[in-house]
Amino acid sequence: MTSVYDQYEIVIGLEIHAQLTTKSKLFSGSSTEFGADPNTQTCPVDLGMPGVLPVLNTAAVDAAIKTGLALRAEVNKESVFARKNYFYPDLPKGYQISQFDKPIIGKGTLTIDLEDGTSRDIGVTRLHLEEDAGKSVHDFGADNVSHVDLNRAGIPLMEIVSEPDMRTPEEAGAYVRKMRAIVRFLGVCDGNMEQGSMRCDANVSVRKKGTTEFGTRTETKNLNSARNIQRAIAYEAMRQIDILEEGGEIVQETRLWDAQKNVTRSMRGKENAHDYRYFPCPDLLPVRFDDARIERNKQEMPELPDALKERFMNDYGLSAYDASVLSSSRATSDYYDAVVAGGKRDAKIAANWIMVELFGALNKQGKDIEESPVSPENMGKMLDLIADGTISGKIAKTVFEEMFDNGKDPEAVVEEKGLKQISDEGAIEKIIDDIIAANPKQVEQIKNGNDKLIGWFVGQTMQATKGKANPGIVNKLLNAKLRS
Amino acid sequence: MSTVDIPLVEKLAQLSRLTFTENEKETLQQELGNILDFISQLQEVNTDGVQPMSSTVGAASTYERPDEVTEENRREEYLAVAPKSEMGFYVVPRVIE
Repeated sequence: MTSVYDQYEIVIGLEIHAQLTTKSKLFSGSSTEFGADPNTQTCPVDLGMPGVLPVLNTAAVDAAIKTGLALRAEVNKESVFARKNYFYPDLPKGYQISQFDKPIIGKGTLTIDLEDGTSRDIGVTRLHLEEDAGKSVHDFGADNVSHVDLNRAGIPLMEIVSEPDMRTPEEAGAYVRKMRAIVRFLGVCDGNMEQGSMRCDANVSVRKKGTTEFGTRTETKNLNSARNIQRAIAYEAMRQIDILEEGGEIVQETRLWDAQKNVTRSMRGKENAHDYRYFPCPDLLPVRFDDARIERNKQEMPELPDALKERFMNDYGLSAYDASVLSSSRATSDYYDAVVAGGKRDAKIAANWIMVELFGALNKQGKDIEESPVSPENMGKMLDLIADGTISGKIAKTVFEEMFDNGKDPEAVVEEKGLKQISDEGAIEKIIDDIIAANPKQVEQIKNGNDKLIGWFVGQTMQATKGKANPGIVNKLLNAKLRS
Repeated sequence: MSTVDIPLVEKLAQLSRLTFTENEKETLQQELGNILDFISQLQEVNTDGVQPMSSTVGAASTYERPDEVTEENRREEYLAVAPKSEMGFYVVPRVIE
């Protein structure tokens, strides 16, 4: 069945704003700490008072250089700050200091990892530094006023613009996740999308498959999670296809994602006069640095997700997908590395336990791996208990639950709950003999060729031992006794 | 030879959030035109092979500020010079529909 939607291709480009983790603002010595009382972290530079001069924060430049290197991009040793002019109450100067025709970072590449284990290279057009605006609050006080908090005004941002290289909502989601992983590995941005330290706008257009011309695009704002980005793009593409199929035309406009209703809405009134009249900021000289500074930043960079992924695949034999999931954050890869302990433990079994049981339990409680009640040491010890036959893989799930709920040591859980696997052949044989003696009918059926009933005996034995009997020994004994 | 017409004056007025009477628009059309004509004398200079400059100083900056917090909270002083404030916020005419 082919639907009309299958005849179209989606073309997606993303703009990401990543707030830098610097202590002070881009051009002033005001604090950038999150969550302070309104307007307590501003100074005359942020407020656009007459006579002040902006002075560039050196850490912001280094952050941009590192991110540029991680994106395999051109690092421009000379770049220029420009004024982007518009009026809004949360922009005290009447312009935002940004970069326009000479950004600090030029063309680069981001490799995204897809669920089927394949990878794709997405072009990065540019990365530039700019200051954030303040925040307007509309939901308290009199109906005819807004309230302005300028704590955020002047906080350094990196704007990272992609090429229109993505073709599915999933690719867009993978792009955002990978970008987030990279800035977090570098420590230049905390990647917190809910708090707004990473924000994303999606440029979406559609065209008939096989054509090469771009359709008219819309820009959707307010996307605060990888999931919402995928949903918004899927919705927006369908909306555009519906319009085209009805013979209509797409209006180039800015739209807003409504996460409650799962729709995009037109932002009326924002269309006219997008004339920012950029010009070089006369208060700031061009930024210039040498190769030595680029080299120093290169030396300071940690192992990045792509390198980690490759190491996990080569050294531990993981699949591409598993390796990309386990290298998606520093905390995850550190956890995994600690559990595997340099190859001391089975790397694939460790990967499975972390990705299925641990992630599942963490997700249910909305926790990050940093908050895991099960430490990597305890996870490792539990895997050792499975490996040396003290507990079965099945019992381990019970042990894991107990560890997760109470943060306990796995050996203590096994001891307290009496979960130790019974591997004593004699003891198991005695139990099996009792069960066989009690169920002559089933024994008879097996003798008559109904092999499936062996499974029933396995079940009975496990029930009698509360799941603690070593499954290998149970199977061996039952086969020997019943199949003769 | 200026190309300043009334629609351009109106567009600039809108971008600048300014309102003019018809008379003022005509005056501005004249004045802005004169400025452009004056500046256009520069077009006569041959600039072949000259790199565009971003700064009149002609230099680039090597000085950057260390990433340190040097400002303290002086909110009350800043709010005091604003036309209106309450609860630690600046109060402005409503800016959303």
